[in-house]
Amino acid sequence: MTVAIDPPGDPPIIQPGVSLHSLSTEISFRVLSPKAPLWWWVGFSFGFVLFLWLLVAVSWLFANGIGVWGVNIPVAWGYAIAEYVWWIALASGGTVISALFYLTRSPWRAATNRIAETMLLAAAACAGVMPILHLGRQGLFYWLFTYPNVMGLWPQMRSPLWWDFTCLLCYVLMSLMFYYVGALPDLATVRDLARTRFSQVFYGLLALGWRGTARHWRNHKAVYGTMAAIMAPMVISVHSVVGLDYAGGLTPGWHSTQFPPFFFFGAVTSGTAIVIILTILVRWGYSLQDVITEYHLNALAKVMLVGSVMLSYAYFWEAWGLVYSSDLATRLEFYHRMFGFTAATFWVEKVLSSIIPQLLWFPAVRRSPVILLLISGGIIVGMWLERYTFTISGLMHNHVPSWWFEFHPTFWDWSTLFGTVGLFITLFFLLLRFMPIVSMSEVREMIDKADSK
Amino acid sequence: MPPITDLSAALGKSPEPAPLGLRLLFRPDEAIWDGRFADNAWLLELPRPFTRLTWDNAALLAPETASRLGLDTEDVVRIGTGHGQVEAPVFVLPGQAENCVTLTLGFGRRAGGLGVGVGYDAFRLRGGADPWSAPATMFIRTGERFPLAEGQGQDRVEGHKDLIREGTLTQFVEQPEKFIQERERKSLYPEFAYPRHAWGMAIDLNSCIGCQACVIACQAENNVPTVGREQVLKHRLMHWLRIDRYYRGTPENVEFAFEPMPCMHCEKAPCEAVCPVHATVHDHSGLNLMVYNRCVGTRFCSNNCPYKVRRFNFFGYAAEQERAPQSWNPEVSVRGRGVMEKCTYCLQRIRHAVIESEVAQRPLADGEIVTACQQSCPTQAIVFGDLNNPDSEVARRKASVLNYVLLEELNTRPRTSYLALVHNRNKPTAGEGS
Repeated sequence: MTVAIDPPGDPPIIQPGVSLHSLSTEISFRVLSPKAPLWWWVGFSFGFVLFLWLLVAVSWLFANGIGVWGVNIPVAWGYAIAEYVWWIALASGGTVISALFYLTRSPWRAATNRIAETMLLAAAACAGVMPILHLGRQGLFYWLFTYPNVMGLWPQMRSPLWWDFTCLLCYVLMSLMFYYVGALPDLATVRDLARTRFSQVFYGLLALGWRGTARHWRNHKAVYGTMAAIMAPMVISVHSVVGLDYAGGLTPGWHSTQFPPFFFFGAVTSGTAIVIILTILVRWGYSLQDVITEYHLNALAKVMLVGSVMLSYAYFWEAWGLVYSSDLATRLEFYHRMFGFTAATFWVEKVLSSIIPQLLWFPAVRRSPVILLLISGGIIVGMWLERYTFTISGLMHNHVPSWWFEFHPTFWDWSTLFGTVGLFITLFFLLLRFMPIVSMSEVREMIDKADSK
Repeated sequence: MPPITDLSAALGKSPEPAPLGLRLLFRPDEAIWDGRFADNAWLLELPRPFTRLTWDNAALLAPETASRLGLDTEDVVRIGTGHGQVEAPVFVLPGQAENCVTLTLGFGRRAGGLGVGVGYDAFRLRGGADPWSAPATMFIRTGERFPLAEGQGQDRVEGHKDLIREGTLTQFVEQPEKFIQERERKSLYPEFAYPRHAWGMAIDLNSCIGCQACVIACQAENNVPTVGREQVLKHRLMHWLRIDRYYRGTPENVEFAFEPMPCMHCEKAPCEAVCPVHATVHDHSGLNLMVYNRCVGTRFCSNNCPYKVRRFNFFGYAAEQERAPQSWNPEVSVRGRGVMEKCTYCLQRIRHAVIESEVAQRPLADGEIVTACQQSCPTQAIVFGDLNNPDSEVARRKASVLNYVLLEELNTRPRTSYLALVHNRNKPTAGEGS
């Protein structure tokens, strides 16, 4: 490879022996094979059962009202919003890997970007339902749209919630298109290798008549590059707007200009963590060790380390800024966040997402799938705890101590959390089964470059 | 009546010593009295002035006594006298006399309606000879805990000293200007114009005795639902107006401050800016109003309200009320599930008076509009009126050096303001510390 990001002795980016043909048949076989492996059924069933439980939880919520959750006054936002931020952060991290590192032409992206994008779509679906479930009157969520209506009313455009709603919508649509445009050549490959009539028609329709002509490729490159160039800044703005949902509020602990970047740093860290987890699992499950090597794990781990260091910097500023702040409410809130009701989650979160990831400075750690799995899992849990602590503590320790009340989640809060995990697993496993999970066209390009050198 | 010269003689002989060193005091409850109002949901759910407890009664203990006995709030104790025994949860109340346990009557009823099974029945401990006090012959901890539904979070201002501004009479006489709250903050946004009326409210903390009459008046006037003990435990009380009670001073020598908290109707209202669907809006006379039909229930307005006066229908509380149809106020919308609500300064009364004056083609007189809380206040602590009229009572109160607004540093510019507390304490007598 021409790009050296590690000292000599690096693991190869593609194992020798992977040819253009073997790659295409190998990846397409996973999609076209009439039988799914046992582990797929186990994972999918697990996710699907949880997803069914989400349906129960949502039905219960719709039937009885938002009171089935633990939210109260003052803590009017609870798990639903914490989870929304958590999921959208995971999705945003996926976009960073697939769009930002496309622009930097990073060689390790080719084999991992489809996993990141697949994760992104599943996580964005989970994120997208949370703000709607969270509403007091869920059926009226469309009032946040700017659409011509007989009431003659538009949304209130000063509200960060409206910005967020708009951004999220654009982001989800854009992500879908980005995924689809990127997958077009691969869908054509699958179509060409398909043997049954059904899969030929199915993937044929999806491939939109892709024939791989020079003109097709030129257009594809132009569109895909443009989309990546839009997506990369967009993901920063989307997640910054999520930060503004908090920063735009007057609540102590939320009302600070540092939160847009703070949230983005969190998104990079947790998003990379989930990509690492899924990459390792898919690599094992589909035996893709030849295509996804330790080189990729190493590179992803470095991104995660950078994210964690940036996040630690934001943590530091969150605390340090209060040293010279004159705002009593904010200082009190932070004190109580560290040592009060949320003390346990606060400190566990700091250890999981800021301290333990420092192990990634060691190259051996970055290449060990087991340790990476543990660290990444810790980061994902830590980031959930962060969103929980941040949301709850600011509302709880508000400006009037007479109305400082604790938040206690209910059974249905937990059901919604684990239910969306089920939705995520279900969607991811379906895409894993029926869409090529590695971008064949991009890896082929890499093989070709390596061969012609 | 002739003046009492010898107080101890007038009070009679001192009661016989209590074997455990604990004396039980039987007192009527502030809300349900001796139990005659025990089936009234409004009164059961009314936070009591000092304890802020709703629904249940407790055995009130002084902090020193509680720590001596190793008891804390919500610990259940078995209390006995020569007449009977009851189990009651403890509530530690600063200011309570040492070694005295106050038990309120009227609870623990066995027949009737809503009041059945609420709290414990202190009548069982009472004898005919000395109906208002008895020595405790049994006072043991059962080891159980009983969650008490409190209508307040923290009991102290936790550093937010300006929530209760106060000073002494000497300071007020000598340097009244020291009471003036500095307000020099500017806003980037254009100001609203109020060519006709600009409503405002002034609450005199010196007059407020914390009786909670305004809370019930507001509840009756504005169709505020009750939510029940379980929901109070989940911190979902619906009162549009509450009276915060803050402790000051040491637990042994505590002072109470009462602070009625209606909506502040901020001029720069943080709630208005964050509603994505225009459900909470500023009106042409300065009111901050909810459009219930438009609310989708994001609850961002409540998060953004620094005074925490917004209330949310987590369930369809109003629909679940079992009450006579004619007990609802027909002039006020009944709110449904998933909708935010809050104090309107009794908008229906304002509109009524304004329309009357327009029909009669005369200017609106000061005092013509009386809000429900103002109407029910026995000490006239609450005054409402038009700030555009410089002669109105509310405008005169707001011109006082004592006038202040809550959380002024946030520049929300509340229309509800307060008159600071001025203490005229007794001079310490010989033998007492200063």
